[in-house]
Amino acid sequence: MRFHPILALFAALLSLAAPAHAVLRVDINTGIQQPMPIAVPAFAAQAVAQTPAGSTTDLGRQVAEVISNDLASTGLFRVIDPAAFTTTVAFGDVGQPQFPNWRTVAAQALITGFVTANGDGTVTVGCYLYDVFSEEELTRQGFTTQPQFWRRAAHKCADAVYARLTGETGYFDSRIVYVSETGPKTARIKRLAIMDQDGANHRFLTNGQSLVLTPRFAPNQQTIAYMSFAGNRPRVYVYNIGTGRQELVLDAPNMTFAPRFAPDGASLVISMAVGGNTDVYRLDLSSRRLTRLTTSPGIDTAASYSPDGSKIVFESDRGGSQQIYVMNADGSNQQRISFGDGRYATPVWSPRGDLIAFTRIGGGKFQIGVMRPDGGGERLLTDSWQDEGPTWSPNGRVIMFFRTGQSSRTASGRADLWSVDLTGVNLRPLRTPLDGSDPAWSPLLP
Amino acid sequence: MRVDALKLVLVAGLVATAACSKKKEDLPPPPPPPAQAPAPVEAPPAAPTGAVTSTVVPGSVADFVAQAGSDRVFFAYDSYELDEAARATLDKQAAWLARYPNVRMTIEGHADERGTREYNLALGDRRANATKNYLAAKGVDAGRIATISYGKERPAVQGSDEESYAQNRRAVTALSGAAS
Amino acid sequence: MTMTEGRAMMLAGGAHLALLAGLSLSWSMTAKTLPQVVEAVPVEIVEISDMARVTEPPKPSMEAAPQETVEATAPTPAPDEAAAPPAPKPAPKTASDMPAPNAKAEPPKPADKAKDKAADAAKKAGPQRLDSQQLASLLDKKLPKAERKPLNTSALATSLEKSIPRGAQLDARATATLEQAIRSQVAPCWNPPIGGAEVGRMTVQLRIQMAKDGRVLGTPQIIGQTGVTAANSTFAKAFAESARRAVLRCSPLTLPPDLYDAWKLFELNFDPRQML
Repeated sequence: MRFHPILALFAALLSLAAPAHAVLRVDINTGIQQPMPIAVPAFAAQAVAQTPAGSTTDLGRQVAEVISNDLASTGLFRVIDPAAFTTTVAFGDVGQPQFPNWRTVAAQALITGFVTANGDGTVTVGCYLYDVFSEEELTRQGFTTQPQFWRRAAHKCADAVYARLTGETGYFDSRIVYVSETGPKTARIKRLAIMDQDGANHRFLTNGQSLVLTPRFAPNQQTIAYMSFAGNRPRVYVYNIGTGRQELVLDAPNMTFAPRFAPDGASLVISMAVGGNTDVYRLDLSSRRLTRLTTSPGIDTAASYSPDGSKIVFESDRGGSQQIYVMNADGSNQQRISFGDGRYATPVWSPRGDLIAFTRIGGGKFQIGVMRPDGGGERLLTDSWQDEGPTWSPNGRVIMFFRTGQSSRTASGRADLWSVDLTGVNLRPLRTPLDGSDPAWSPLLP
Repeated sequence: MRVDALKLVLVAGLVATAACSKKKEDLPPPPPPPAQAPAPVEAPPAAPTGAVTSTVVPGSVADFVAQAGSDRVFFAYDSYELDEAARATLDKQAAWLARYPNVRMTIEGHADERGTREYNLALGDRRANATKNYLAAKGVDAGRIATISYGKERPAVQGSDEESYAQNRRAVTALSGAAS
Repeated sequence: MTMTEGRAMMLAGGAHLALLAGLSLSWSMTAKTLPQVVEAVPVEIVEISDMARVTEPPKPSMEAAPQETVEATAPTPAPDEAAAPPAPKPAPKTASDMPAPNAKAEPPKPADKAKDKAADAAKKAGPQRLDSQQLASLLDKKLPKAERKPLNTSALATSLEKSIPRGAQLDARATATLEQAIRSQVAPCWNPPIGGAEVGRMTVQLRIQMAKDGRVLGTPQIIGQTGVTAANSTFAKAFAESARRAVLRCSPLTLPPDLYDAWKLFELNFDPRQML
């Protein structure tokens, strides 16, 4: 039955004359915007068992903590302090929680779960989501994994909960590759590093001998394209994180940089500077065939594919200052889309396809913003001295970027990774062991 | 050793000069004055072996810096145009390079930190190539000149202020195969 | 200045050799600096809906666990350069040791004592009057943080009082006032997911049955929803449930008992457009 405001009005008028049994209808046109209170009690251990990653009891507590942190980081949930809980959830109650106990702590949703050590050395993490008011089970998921990868099971659970309650895909089981920085700006040491989306499992991929920049994930999450100054020749490399093997993608005499994968992973879009003129090229990774896509005498760079692979967004100063342009994937039909005040740079197409994130330079600031692919609906999400280099979460709802602070002659300004959601409200730093820049968010892990 | 020390003194002098020079927003600093300081006299014919002297070795990097006045030129914000001062420096660099045809060089293009990373790499490349093209036009064989852009990755001085930026927007002529 | 294809391919062919040479000479350390990253972590998705029929907690039987022969070696992938990355297989497992959510047939109980008290108080206050103070305090208790539209309660009370020739039907004004009483209590409980791309075009309609004390009976029934497409069905579900949760959270509603006939069954249309 469809409902129409005009019809509703009619219905209301008719009810004047009609007998009293006409059904009352009320429009609810406003609501609230506040984080949903959710309870995540420690997951129960079926039996206390030791695993290489700790006892199942400890794992159960840690899994709940990881899920809690994931959900809280979205700004959409308020995780209720476990100290307020009136009860714990024993293994036998995982599937039949006492809902009144959770209503008394004002939880609207409840996550229960368990951790079981299996005979083959794996652990199984089970995860249940309940609506506390309707007392319904909303979803359940189970994951079996080697014990040391228990965090991934927790992230998968958080993803399932997020998806069920928001109707959007989750993004917690994903990784960040970025450039770890240390030392004075004049002799900065930069290393590739990779970590989980929440900062856990951090490790360095390169040792800092060569300057490295702008790592970008392939759609398969196993390959990273980046730029290295190895041998004092700034060029694009591809690195396989499973094998540790890296490969120069194009042995050209010119500088190649700003790589990004096509959505099918079969080619890269890169920039190449030839005699002072930078253009965008497509490089087929199997044939190594190079196709020039732009020909303007200006700087055309920072290209990024639309998720369907049909278009490429890039920046160009062909009109006098950095602005954002969209073209077909074959280079045809290049159209400027940014027309606001200031310069627009580093466009990145959302994995959802509906928005393009960018860096806007103007008024003494570098800010992160989004606009539609037609250039409309521009919104700035951050406001700082220098925010730069956006990258999208796999679900297109959160943007990570790096923020640089001002330096003095004696002290280097910090560089840090931050994230902000599309509302612009939920801005938060992501802690890294050293300074960080050039983040790239992986697709969801399988 | 001495040569190095002298070089340091010279470079420090240049930096200080640049730092003190007054400038307007978005304008490059005035070029360092031609080295009026301890301008070494033309190469003393005999190598003063063992002699204690502060003479710069002819054909060396220090000699290049001393003769040309500077190993670098500066640019305005978001510009790769060589202004009069830059051209004067490059003229002298070209003259020196004509005397030492075996010396090769890499022009390093740099940008200040107030640009996005990829754009600054391209901008540094523009500056390096503008410099290379000028030297080539002044008779330096283009085959001797390589270019590299460091974008904003290797500032000469650290500092988020216009004076620092002015020193960082530069193209540096780095010699290889020069006498030591 | 595009490179010719032939040249590009030649260069590419030589690239790897050149790289190896470079590795062994100038930056021989680099080979080690790209450590083996543990392969795409093998998480297997387990279908647990099939295994959830156990009513008592299963015994911790290791033997009963489904066996897959797994070598007991270190989990790091072999550093074989030629090896293709092992694709993680989501092989569904069955395990018989999952706790089952008991099918509960318990009728929904009053949420907590605070609400009971509030409801009782509402009853005691007498059926004819809507006490504005009480309404306010009730709202305050339930929704300490919710933003509320101010409810013109005195007008409401007057209007309702006037309109209570018993059994008579409501006039338009009384109807509007009753609607406003419902709206002002439900809206502060509604927390729709507005991140969805198509939320602006979505509405949902619920039918609600009420007990005379203002309590919602059973679970509100979803009787209609607009703006649903194949692409946004998961969002549509979450959206509809947010509306249902709003009604349940707000139960009991404080409404004039004498007009029970007018609100014992009513419908709500949730439309978030104005919030965006």
